[in-house]
Amino acid sequence: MNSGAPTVFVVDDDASVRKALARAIQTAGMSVSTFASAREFLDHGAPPPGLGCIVLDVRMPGLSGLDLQAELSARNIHTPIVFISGHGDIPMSVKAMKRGAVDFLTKPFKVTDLMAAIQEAMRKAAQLEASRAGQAEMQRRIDLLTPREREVLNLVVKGLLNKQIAAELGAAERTIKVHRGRVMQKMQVQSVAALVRAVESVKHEG
Amino acid sequence: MNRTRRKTRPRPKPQSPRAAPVDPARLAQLKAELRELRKQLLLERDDFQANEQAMAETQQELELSRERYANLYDSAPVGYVLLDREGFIREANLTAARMLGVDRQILCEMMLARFIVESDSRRKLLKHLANCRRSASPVQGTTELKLTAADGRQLDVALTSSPEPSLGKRPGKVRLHSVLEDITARKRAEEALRRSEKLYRAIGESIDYGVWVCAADGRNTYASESFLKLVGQTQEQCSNYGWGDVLHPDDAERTIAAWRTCVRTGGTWDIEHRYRGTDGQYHPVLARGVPIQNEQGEITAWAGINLDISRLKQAEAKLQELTQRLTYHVDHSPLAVIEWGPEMRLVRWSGAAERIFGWRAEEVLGRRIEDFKWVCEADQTQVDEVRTDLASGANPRRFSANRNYRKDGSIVHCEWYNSALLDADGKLRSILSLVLDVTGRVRAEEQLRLLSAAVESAGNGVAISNRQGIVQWVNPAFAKLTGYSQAEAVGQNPRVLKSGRQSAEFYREMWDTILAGKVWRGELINRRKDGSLYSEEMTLTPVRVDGAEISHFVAIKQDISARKQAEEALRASEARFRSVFDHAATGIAISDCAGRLVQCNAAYCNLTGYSQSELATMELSALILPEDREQERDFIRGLLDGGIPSYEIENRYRHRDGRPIWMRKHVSTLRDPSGEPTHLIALVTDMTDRKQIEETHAFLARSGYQAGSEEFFRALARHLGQSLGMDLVRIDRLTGDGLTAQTVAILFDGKFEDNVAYALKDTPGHDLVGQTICCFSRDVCRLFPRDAVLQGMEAESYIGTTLWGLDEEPVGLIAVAGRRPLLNPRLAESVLKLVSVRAAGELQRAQAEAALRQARDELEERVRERTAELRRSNENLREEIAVRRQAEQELAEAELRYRTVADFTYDWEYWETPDLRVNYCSPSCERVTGFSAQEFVGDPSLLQRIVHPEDAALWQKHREESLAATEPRAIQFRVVKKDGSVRWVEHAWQPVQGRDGRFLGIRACNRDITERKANEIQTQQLREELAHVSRTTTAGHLAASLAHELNQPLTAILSNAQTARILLAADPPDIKEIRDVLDDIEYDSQRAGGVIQRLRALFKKTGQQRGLLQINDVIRETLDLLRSEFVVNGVSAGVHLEPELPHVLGDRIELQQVVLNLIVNAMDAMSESTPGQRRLHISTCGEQGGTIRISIRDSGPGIQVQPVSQLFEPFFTTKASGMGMGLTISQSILEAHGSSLHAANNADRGATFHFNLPVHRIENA
Repeated sequence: MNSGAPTVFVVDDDASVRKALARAIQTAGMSVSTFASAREFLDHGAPPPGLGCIVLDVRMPGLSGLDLQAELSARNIHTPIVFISGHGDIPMSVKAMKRGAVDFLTKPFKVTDLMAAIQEAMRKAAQLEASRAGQAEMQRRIDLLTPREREVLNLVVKGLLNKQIAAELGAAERTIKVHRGRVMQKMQVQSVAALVRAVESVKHEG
Repeated sequence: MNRTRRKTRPRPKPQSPRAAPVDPARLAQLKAELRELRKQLLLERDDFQANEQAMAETQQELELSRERYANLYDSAPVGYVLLDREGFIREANLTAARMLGVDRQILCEMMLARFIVESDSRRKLLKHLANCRRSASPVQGTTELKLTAADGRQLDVALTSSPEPSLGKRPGKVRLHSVLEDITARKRAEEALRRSEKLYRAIGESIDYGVWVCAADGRNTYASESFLKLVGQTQEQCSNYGWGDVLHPDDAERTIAAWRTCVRTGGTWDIEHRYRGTDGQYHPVLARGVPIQNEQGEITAWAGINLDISRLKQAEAKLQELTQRLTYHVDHSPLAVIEWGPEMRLVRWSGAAERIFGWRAEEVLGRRIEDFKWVCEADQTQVDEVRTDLASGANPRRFSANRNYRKDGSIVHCEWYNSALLDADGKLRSILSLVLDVTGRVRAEEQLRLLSAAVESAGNGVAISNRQGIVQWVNPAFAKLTGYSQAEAVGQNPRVLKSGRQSAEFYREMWDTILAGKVWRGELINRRKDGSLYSEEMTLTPVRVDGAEISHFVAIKQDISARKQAEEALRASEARFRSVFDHAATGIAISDCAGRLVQCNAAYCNLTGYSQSELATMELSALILPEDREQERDFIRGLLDGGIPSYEIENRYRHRDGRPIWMRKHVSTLRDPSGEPTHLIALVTDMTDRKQIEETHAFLARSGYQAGSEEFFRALARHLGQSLGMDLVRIDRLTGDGLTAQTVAILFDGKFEDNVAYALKDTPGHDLVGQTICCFSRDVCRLFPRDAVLQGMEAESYIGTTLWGLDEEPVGLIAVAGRRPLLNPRLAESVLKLVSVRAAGELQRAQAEAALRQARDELEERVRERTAELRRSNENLREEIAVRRQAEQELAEAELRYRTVADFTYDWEYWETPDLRVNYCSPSCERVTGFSAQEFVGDPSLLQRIVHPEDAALWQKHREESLAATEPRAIQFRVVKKDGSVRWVEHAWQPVQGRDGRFLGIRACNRDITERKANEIQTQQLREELAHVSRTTTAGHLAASLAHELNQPLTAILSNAQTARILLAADPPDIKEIRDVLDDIEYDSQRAGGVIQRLRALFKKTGQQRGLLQINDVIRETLDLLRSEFVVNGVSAGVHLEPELPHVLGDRIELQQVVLNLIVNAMDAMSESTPGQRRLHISTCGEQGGTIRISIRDSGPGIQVQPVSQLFEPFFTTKASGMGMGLTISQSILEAHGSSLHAANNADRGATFHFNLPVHRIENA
C-alpha cells in the first residue's frame, strides 16, 4: 500500500457485503482492501499514509464503526470516512458527520451513491495530505531548535517579554534576545504573531 | 552579568578498586543524574553561545557609540579641554583648537595660561583651577576670562571645569575637564547694550515734563509727545531747529544763541524761555539738558527735558500775598507793642499792652517810664541797664525778662524784646518793645521745679519717655534700680531693660493700653545693666498736654524682687509638699471632724476606687464595712477628746467595684493654735494581699486530711474563687500523656459543675503544664480563641499553676479565670503556690485510693460472675427435666390426635400390612370411590378392580415396583366409581418402618385430583396462548435487528446486481466473474429467506409439539436470531455448548422461547453497563442424574429483588416496558418439561439463570 495509488478500505463484518462492495469498487477501477472488523483494520491496514478513504460499517461486533472513527482520530489519522449502516438513525449519523465523516449511506444503497461518496472522500484526502505536508515542515523547523531555544520559544508563545523570560530561565536579557532572534530565524517567521501561528498549527497536530 | 545558576555537579561516585556489585537503583539514579546534567550542559552551551554573540554585538555598539561621541566632541560649539594637574592641556576637541588658533596636536602640549595676557584674567584662571581641584562637587561656577589666541585674536571666554571623576585620587591631584565657551560676541553685545542703557538712564534722570534728544551738533532728533502737544508741532516740524519757530519772539534769538554756545562748550543746558502754546498763550518753560558722552568723553548726543514753569510763576505771586497777610497777623498777635519816644515817653501802646498791664493807652501815652510804678523794684536795676544799653546804641537789640506791676498792683512776668532805633548820627530816635506775658509759664515752671525735686528724691524709679518710648528723663532711684546712670538712661529705649521673660504679647498688651490713653500697671522681670534680673512693679501713665495727643509716658517702677523671691520660695515649698501628698504610695485622706473629706491624694482614690469628687459627697466611714465600723468609733472619740494622740487600726473597706479591701489605717489630728482638733488625717495602706495569704494558710490548716478528697477540692475551689475574686476555678488531674485533663472540681459563678475530661490543646492549660505559674492578666479570651470555656464566659484573665507530684512530674493543674482583668497577679500567684503543694498531695492520695478501690471492685465482680454462672447451669438442668416430662405427655396425646386426623382426613388413606392386606381405610374412600371402608377391608381385590382399564398397566407396574421400593412413590391414575363415573386419583405410596428398621407395612394416600387435572389442561392451553403472545412481543422487540439481519444480504444482492450490470456492459463481458456474482446473489437470497423463516416460526401459533430435540440446535437457532441484536447492543456473546449431548423430549418453539427470553432479559439487564463490559455467556453441559444444564450468565448489575423467587411471580417486572410475564411464562414452560428455572447472582458480577432438562431415556421411549 503506497501513497501513490489511492486505496479504498472496506470495513464490514458481513462477508457478503464485503465481497460485493469490493467487487463494485474494483470494477470502478480503484484498488480496494477489505477488513472483517475494526480491530483487524487497526492491526493490519491502518494507518496508511497517503491517499485513501475508508468505507466503514457502523454496526460491528467488538469496536463499532464510530469507535474506530474515534480511535483513528486519537491516533491522529484523518483518512476520510464514508459510513454505511443497515439501520442508520439521525443521532448516529449526526455524530459521525460531526466527527468529520464524508457521507453516511443507509443499506441497501446504490453503487453510484457509494462511488460518489468515495470520490468526495478522495478529494478530501488530497487536501489533508497537502496541509499535513505544511505542518510537517513546521515540525521540521521546530526540531532544528536547540533545547534552550525551544524553552525560549515556549515562553515567547506564552506572551512573555524578554525580561520575564530572562527571569524565568535565569539568564541575561541580552542572551534571551539572541536566542529569540535565532528562533525567529530558524522558524523562518518575521513576527511573533506568525511564530505563534506556526507553533499552534503543529500543536493541534501533535 | 548577574545570573544565578543552579549547579548540579555530579556527586563523586564511590570508586572501589574491586568491581562492586552494581545496585540497579543506584545505577538508574546515576543515569538520571547524568541525563539531567547533560540537559543542563546543553542549556549552558546554548546560553554561552548566545552570550558570545551578545558580547560581540555590544562591542560593536560601543564602537559606534564611541565614534558618535568623538564626532559630537569635535563638532560641539564649545571647546573641551582636559587639563592635567600642572595646567597643561592634555586633550582638546577641534573647537577648542580652532578657538585658540592652534593645531590640536600642538595645543595638547601647551598650558592654558599661555593664552592669557591680561594679569587679571590670569589671576582669575588660577583661582578657578584651584577651586575646582579643591572642591568635591563635580561642576564649578563659570569664570570669564580674556584670552589671546595664537593668531592674536582677542577672545572672551567662559570657563567651566569639573574634576575628572576618578575614585581614590586626592582632590588637587585630579585632572580637570574644562569647557571653553567663546563669549566674545556676547560681550560685545553687552557693551552696546550698556551704552544704550546709559543714554536712557540720563533721560530718566532729568525727566519731569517733556523729554527731548538732540544730536551731538545740536539738531533736535526727538521731542516727547507732551511738548509737541503743547506747541502744536509734529516731530518733523520740531526737528533740527524747528522748535525755535514756536519760541516767544523776545526769547528766540537769545535762546538759540545760548544753545549754540552750549553745544559748542558741552556744558549743561539750563534756560528759561517761553513757547507759544496751541491755546495762543505763551508758556514759561524751563529747559534742562545734559550732553551724553561715550567712553572717550566725546559727546554723542544731548538729552533733556522741558519743564512748564507757568505754575511756578503763579506760586510766586501767591507767596507775596501770603507775606502781607502774615504781617497783619503779627500786628494782631497777643504780643504787646510798646514804643518809647526820644525822652522815653510812651508813644505807642497797643491793645495787647492794655490787656497785659491793665492801663489804657490814654492813661499812659506821653508819660515817662519813671512816671508810674510799673517795674518791680527787684528788677529795676536790670531794666535800667537794658535801657542804658539800648539808648547808648551799644546793643540795639536787647532782651529782658522781668516783673512788672499791673495797674491793679499785681505782678506780671514779662519778656521784653526791645530794639532801639537810632538816627544816622547815632542819636536814639525810639525804642520799640514787644512784650510777652509769661506769667503762666513762669508759674508752671516753678511748680514743675517743685515736682521734679520731689520726683528726684522719690524711692520709686521714675522715667519719662516720649511718645516713641525714648527715655527723656529718669530719677536717681531709676538709676539705682537699673544700674544705668541718669545720663546713660536718657536717650535710651527702655527695651534695654528687657529680660526676655515677658512675651511679645505682654508688651503688645501694654502698648495697646497706654496708647489708648489708659494707665497700665503690672509686674515684670527686667535686666539690670550688669545682667542680673530683678522684678519690678511698674505703673505706666500716658501724659497728655492740654487734652491733646499723648506726648509722654511716665513710668514708675517699684523693685519687688525680694517679695517675689519670698513668694517663689513659698510656692516651691508648697509644691514639694503637695507632690509628696499626691504621689505618696500611702493613701492620705484629710477630713473634718465630722468625717467629711476635705482632701485626699491619688493613692487614696486608687485604693478605694472612688474619685475625689465622689468621695467629697460621702461620709468616709461609709467606705468601711458596716461590721467593722463599730470598733473604730471609740478611737475617734478618744482622738477628738485629746485622750489619745493617734491610733492605728485594721479594718475592711468596700472598694467601689464591691470587693472588700483590708486596710491598715493610721489616724491623727490636725489642731488649730488653740489646740482644738480641726481635721483628721488618715493614712491608709492596702493589706488585702497579706490578709488573703493569711486566710489561705488558715484554710489549709482548717481542711485536715480527714475530709474526702472531693470535699477538699470543692472547698479549695470555693476558697480560691472567693479569695481571688475569680469566676471560674478548675482543678484538674492530668491524665494520659499529660495532653488531657480530668477535672476534680469546677466552680463556675459560685456553682459546682459536673466533672469532665478535656484536651489541653488550645487552652492556656497547654502552656501551663510543666510551668509553675502561667498568668494572663488580660485578653486571655483573645489569646485562646479555640478554648470554648474561656470564650463562653468571655474570660479576661487567667492564672494557673501546675501541681507537681512526689516524683517531680506534673500531676494536675489549678486554673482560675475571671471576666475582669487580674488586678493583682502577684497575690494570685502567691495563693496558688501556697495551695498547689497541698492540692498535689491530695490529688495523688485520691488517685492511690481510687486505684485501691478499683482493685477491690474487680475482685468482687469476678466472684459475682462465677456465682451467676453456677446458677444458670442449675436452671438449665431443671428446664430439661420439665421438657422431657411434657414430651411424654404430648406423645400420648399425639396418638389420639393422629388417629382422629386419619379418620377425618379429606384424602382417602389406607394402610396395608406387609402381606398386602388392607388393615385400615379412612372413611373418605367412600367419597372418592363410592365404596365404603368395610368393602375395601373386606375385599383385597377391590382396589385392583376399580382402576381404569387404560391405567391398569400403570397400576400393575406400580404394584410390582413398589414391592422392592424403600422410598415413597407417587403415580396418577383414574378409577371408576361405583356409579360408573371416572375420577383422577393421585396415589402417594409410602413404606412404613419401625424405629428398629422393621417393615411395618404400607401407607397410601389417594387424593381426588379430577378438578385439578381439568384445570391443568386448561392452564396448558392458556399458557400456550400466553407464550405465543410473549413470542410475538419478543419478535417485535427484535424487529429492528432482524431488519438489519435482512439488510446485509439485501445490500450484497443490490450491489452485486448493479455490478453485474456494469460487467455485462463491458466488451467482452467477463462471464466467469458474472457467474460468481450470480452465485453470490443466490446465496444471499437463501440467507435472507432463512431469516424470514425463523421469524415466521416465532409468530406461528402452534399446539404443543413434543419431539426429540438436540438442545444445542435449539440454542444455535435462537442465537442466529439474536446475532444483530448482540451487535446493536454491543454485547459480546460467549457460547460454550457441550458436544454430543443426548436428546431431550420437548417443544422446540417453547424451549427456544425460554432461551430467547432469558437472553433478552440478560441484555436488558446489561444495558446500563458500559458497552465493553456487556458479556453474555451461554453454556450447556450434561450433568449427573440424567439432566442437561442450560445456563445463561450475564455481567449486569445482578438481581436486586429478595427473595429471588419473586422474579417468577406474574406481573413482576423491573423493566419500564416489561409486561412482567416473561419469566412466569418461561417458568411454566419449563415446568411442563419437568424442569424449573433458577436464578442466582454471580460471585463477581451479574446473574446466572439456569434450568436442567431431563434427558430422554431411549428405554423409556
